[in-house]
Amino acid sequence: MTDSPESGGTSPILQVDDLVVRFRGGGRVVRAVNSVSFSVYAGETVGIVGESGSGKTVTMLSILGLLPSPPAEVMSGTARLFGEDLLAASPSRLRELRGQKVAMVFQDPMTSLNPVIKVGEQIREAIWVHDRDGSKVDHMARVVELLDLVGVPQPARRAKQYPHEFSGGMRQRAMIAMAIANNPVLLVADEPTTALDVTIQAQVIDVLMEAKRASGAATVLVTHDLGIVSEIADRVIVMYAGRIVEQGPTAALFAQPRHPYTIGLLASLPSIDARQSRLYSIPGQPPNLADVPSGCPFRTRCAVGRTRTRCSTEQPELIPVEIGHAVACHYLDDVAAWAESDPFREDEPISGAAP
Amino acid sequence: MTSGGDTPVASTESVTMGPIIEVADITTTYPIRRESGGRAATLTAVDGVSLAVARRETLGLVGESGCGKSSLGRTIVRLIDPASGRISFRGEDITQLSHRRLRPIRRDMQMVFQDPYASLNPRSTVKQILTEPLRIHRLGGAAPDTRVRELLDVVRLPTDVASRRPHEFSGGQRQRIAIARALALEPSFIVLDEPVSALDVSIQAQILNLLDDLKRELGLSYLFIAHDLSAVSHISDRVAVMYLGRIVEVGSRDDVFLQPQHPYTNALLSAVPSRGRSGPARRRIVLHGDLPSPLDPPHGCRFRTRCWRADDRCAEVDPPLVPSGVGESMVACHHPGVETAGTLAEHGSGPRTIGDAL
Repeated sequence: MTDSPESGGTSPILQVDDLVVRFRGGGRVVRAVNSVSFSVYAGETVGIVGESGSGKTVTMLSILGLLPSPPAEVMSGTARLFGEDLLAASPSRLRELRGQKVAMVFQDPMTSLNPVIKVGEQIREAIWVHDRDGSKVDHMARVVELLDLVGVPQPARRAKQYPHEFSGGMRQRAMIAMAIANNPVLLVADEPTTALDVTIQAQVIDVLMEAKRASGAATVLVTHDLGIVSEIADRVIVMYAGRIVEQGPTAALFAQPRHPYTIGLLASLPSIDARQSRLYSIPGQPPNLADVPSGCPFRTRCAVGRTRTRCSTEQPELIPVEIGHAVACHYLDDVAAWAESDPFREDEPISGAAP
Repeated sequence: MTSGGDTPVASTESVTMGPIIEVADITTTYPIRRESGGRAATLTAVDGVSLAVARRETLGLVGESGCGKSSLGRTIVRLIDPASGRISFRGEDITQLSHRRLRPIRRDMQMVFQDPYASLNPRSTVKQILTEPLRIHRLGGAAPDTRVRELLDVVRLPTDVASRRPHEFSGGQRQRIAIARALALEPSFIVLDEPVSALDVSIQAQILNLLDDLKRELGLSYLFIAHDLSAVSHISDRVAVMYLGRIVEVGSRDDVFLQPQHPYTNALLSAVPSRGRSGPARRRIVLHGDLPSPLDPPHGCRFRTRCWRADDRCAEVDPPLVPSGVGESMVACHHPGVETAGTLAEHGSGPRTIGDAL
């Protein structure tokens, strides 16, 4: 929060520039991430939102060196963690950084924990890997302290249990404990609550935020859930078809979204606070990433750009509209006028099956 | 009954014609084998539930995984036989009907499942998928092609997709096909079990709107089962909240969402992020603990182990579902009431926040 980009002067913890990631296979090239650039500053929480296939997860996995290659290929770009380019780092250097400076929490805690090793042992191992000279007793004490911090009741007893003896919410707490074990500077959480029930989601989000406070790590939260992002992120990055289409401070972006995709996405959410007679729905489907439309990738679903030549020929760049708020759209004024005209009534016909 | 609904006709009909489906004191059990010792045990997934869905009404059924909502949905259409209780469809008791005698009734009540990837046969064409129900019920008729075109049209899919197979469609389009199949026999009642949970946000809105339109155009009644409160709030006329096999609160959409009486309903609603909309921020109630095992539910009130209002009485007396005093709402709680910041402070051991936990 304190080192937000607006305050200036501080350099980011993580700076990603012009990242391009492709997948090759079956004679097709899937352009998963296209010219993505963003920064993460100390202590802040950045939400990366988008639907399936938007490139949000691939972006973070490629930065952390966790994509299998082949089929994945980082075509260009840099991702500097305190100035060190992760995309150029050796596998051994990446292993050193992961779990220490950078830590991750994934969606499914059942598949990320080893089912035949006690939970406490797994967390102890994560500590030992980065502190091989420490004593086992000290490490185990730290494990219990961490489990206590993330709200696992009776942590000393629970540390001796296996993952299947933990509920989904408890497993995710254990994953968070493991992630912050070495006081990382950057915590990447990929859909950390998606597999959980509503009341357990609330618990895990609170634990995640407490873990972030306790460790001081900047957090990147990758999710499709705009609700969670609106509650905990300081800044939001919206991705569509492998590109960033809008980014800005959370309050500004939710109060006044500028990109037609962001506008449509927010309008399509049902709300429990207000009764809408009809939901807005963005017409059509997200594009197939092996065959992305020319120009603006959103134009085929866009009320403003669907028929305009410039949208089909020229890829819009991210242009700042306010401090820290940038949008990739050629016709911002027309989009604003369209949003004002209360377009959220027509349900447009669905054209064609997916290729 | 249909507060907020835009078809006044529906409410009069629902009163004069009685509910389309009604279950009384339904219990659904599964035999299971415990890991240690291998002694057989019985899991009671639905425990004495009574519910009614009025004609042309959408009843939303919410609850977390393992609460029994899907078991209840399947029991209602008799995909699972109840251990006890009674199911009436259009006033006729169907609890004991044989499968043969159930068949004509099945035509009138259909089901749509969560995962359109798993519920559509990958080797069948869309036409085969849509005509199979007609074949099974020997309703082939003269022009199946015409019927297929009609059905595709109803779910807003282009009619030229009839020869394609499920893998050629996106998740949202597959769910449209699953809905078209459910509509093939012109049912009057459909159980929708998490029909939008597997879909992306922008596609969820398309399917919710479609379901709303179909309900109006075809005069359907729905039981809409979901864990997503905002989807339920959008589509439902009435809402029932389920916890550990029981209905803990039921009432009109507005009464349940705006004046929730059960502490569990209060907690569920408070956990829904407000999505940056204006208005006072909800105070989030973080429930401690997990859902207890349905194999060994707490005695007394089942929610008491996670409830900040619980006292001795809650451990002793199982609260019945009774009128709450808010509209037509019913609640099963010894200490009902809307949770506010003020009332939260009153409870000494109020709902835990993460601050307390640390």
